Amino acid sequence: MDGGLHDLQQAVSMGTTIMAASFDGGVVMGADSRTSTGSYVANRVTDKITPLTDSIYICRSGSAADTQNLSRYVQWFLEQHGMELGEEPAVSTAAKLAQEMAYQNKNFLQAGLIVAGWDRHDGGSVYAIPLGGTLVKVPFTIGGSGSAYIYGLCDKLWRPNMTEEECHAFVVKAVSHAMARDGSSGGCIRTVVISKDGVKRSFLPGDRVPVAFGELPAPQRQPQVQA
Amino acid sequence: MSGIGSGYDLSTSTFSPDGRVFQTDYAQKAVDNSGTVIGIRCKDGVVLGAEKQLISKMLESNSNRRTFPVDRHAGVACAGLAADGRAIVSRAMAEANNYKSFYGDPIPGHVLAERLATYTHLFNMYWSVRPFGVSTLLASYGKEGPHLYLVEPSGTMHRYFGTAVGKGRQGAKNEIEKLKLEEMSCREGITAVAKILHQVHDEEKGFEMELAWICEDSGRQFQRVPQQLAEEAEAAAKAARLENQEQALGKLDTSLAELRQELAAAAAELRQELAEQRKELRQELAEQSKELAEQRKELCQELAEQRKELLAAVAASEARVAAAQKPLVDLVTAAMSALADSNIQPLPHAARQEQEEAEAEACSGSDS
Amino acid sequence: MAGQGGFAFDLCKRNEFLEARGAKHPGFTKTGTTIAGIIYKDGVVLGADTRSTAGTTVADKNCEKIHYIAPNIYCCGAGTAADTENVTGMVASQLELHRYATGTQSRVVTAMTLLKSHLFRYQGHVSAALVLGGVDFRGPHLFTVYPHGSTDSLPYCTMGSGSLNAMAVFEAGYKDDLTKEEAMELVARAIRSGVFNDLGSGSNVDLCVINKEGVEYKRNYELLQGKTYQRQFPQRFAAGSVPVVHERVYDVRRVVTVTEGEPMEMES
Repeated sequence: MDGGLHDLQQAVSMGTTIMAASFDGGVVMGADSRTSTGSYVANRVTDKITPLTDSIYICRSGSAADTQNLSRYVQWFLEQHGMELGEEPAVSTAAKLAQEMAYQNKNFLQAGLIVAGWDRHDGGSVYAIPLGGTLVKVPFTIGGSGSAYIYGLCDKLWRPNMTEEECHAFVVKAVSHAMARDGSSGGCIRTVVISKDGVKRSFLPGDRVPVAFGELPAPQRQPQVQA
Repeated sequence: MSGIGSGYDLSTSTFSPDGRVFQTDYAQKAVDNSGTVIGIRCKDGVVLGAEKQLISKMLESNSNRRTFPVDRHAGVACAGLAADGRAIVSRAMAEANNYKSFYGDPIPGHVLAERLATYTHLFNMYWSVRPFGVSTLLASYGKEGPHLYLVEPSGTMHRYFGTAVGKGRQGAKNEIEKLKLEEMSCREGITAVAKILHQVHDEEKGFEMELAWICEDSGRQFQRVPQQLAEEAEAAAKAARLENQEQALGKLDTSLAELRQELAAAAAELRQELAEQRKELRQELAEQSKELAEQRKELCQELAEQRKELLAAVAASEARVAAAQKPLVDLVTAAMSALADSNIQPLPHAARQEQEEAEAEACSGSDS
Repeated sequence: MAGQGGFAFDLCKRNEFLEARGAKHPGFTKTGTTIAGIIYKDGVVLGADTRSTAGTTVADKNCEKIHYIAPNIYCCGAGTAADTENVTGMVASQLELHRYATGTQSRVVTAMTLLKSHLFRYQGHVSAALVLGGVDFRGPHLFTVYPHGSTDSLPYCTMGSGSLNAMAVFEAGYKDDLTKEEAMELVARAIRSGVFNDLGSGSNVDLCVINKEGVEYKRNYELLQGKTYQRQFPQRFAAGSVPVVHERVYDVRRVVTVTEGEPMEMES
């Protein structure tokens, strides 16, 4: 196609910052909201934290098509499994299913995943499934292109037995710092908190994201006038 | 085939008119004839036990297995055709393996039981296969705790506190019902199982016992009960059986003596009663015969009197007749003589008849 | 593989080899395109230009890029014309059968899922970039579907080579709860920005308004670069233009005999 035209053949991918961290009694998952095709932002309010079951979610990074469709397969398998099991599937099971698919099709997929959630047996748990298709149970993990900028920050800030509020603040802080340095990450911050009491979603608009060193504060919001 | 009610047992793909699948029933019979296999769920795990008939005196001990591990956290005991049992076991292992490699978690007991039941059931639906002649007791210890399942040849599956299959199942179930499973540990459980197996085994020929368990003591792993524990349990069971037998024998002896005594007493009583009755009867008889004799005497007397009276009456009436006849004879004699004298001709017919009648009347009046 | 539908890619390697040796391949007809959609107060408005190109040549000056999916769902297509037309057609037919089977209105997410599943299966080789819009019992829905099988759900979206132009217009003019007229004007403006500023887009503006009441498909809503020439062929002749040379009337009754009778008994 002509170089000047917007190239549709280029895969839609999520240059991304995603993360999940466990706290006392549950997990917090966080992600930016930028989806890009080449240098064009295809979606600036993407939801990269997708439900797998009522209490298990997955953070997606890599190819949007690959991760969306992989998630749909995992959703389907977990639904079948839940019926056979007679209860909500375990987080470990969801992670294993995602990992198995990521691994078996590693040559065809570009998917960096984080599965996290809460179940009756293990409480809150976080599983990292990086590009190769390994499965690691971790207290917290970060992923996507933006994560490279915040390893030190997260290693420094994360500590065990945080409260829900502390953990949520930690996630927002980490993601905002990644968005500040990574060109492929940006937009808003979405978070999901999962504990035995259920799921709480929250959304931080782009102009409310805390500013990092050297950034200008977001301009004042224009009051919306109905035409 | 043409007869009513026959020909319905050739295939599982045909119902009998009253709604049975005979091949399935027969498969159950194969299990019912097998050595007893029992399972109990104690408070900390599950114990399985099997009674194995000795096929041959030359058989190496523990070479024909009835219990099999299926995964670390699950195992089965099979009753019925041993070969069919192994087919079930290999399927169970495949299911457990497959589940774990797919979901990353060990297969929960109820899922394994359901899958085995589904597999077993398949063989009840097609013309070309026969049902498994096996009932499978499945013991598992997962996130949900220890569980015991029974999968039958028909493909039904149930969870039990305790159950038994095979020859001695009825007796074994009765014994299991008496156990306090909620309070019993698996260590106590193996002895209980051993005792029941020895108790329900009622043949001269000995048998080999196989025990397996999954509990805290086995590290939540399915395994055969360690040899030492199994031997202790078996020894306890044998002792208990011996004691039971002696007790039973003692009881029998005392009850026999009691019975004998009772019998003697009853016989004596009866004899006495009989004698009394005889005496009474004799007395009665004597009285009756006496009475009868009297009656006879009376009757004879009466009869004699009546006879006398009658004879008297006859004599009297004879005399009266004779008296009554006399004038008539005289008259006739006179008449005859007169007739002879007068030489009178005989009367004409009418007159003669009248005369004859008159004569007849006169005769009848006197002749008696 | 006989009897199974799908694509065969075994000639791709050969074609790559030939291309490396300098062979020129025939190009596809690609709709260098501007398409866009927006959610307004009661429904959605879809818009598209009408230019179809083959390379730098305009192949069709007034093509239709807003495709029917269901009575309550339409879909704008960008990419390879054959792919957009066929993929929307396949989904439309699947949904129609689904409606016959269930007796319920089609849902927009169902259409979206069918599309993404198909596109993901072909790993981007079915080059269809779509803007899917419709109204179902849950309200208005708008999705973009990319050729590789990813989807986005947004209040306003654009696709095709003119998508940047159109998005600039949307970003500047979008508000929540627009009226129908405002939404139509905003979408038309977005498409116009593509028609005038993007080489791959041109000609006219098609609009499609979908709400609870129904669908208004506004074909050639704006004629921006009207036709300079009306095609004269095929010629239509008025009745009686040609003289009758020969005429013969047949009396059918002489050839065909009609007899009364009982209908034949059918074996059952």
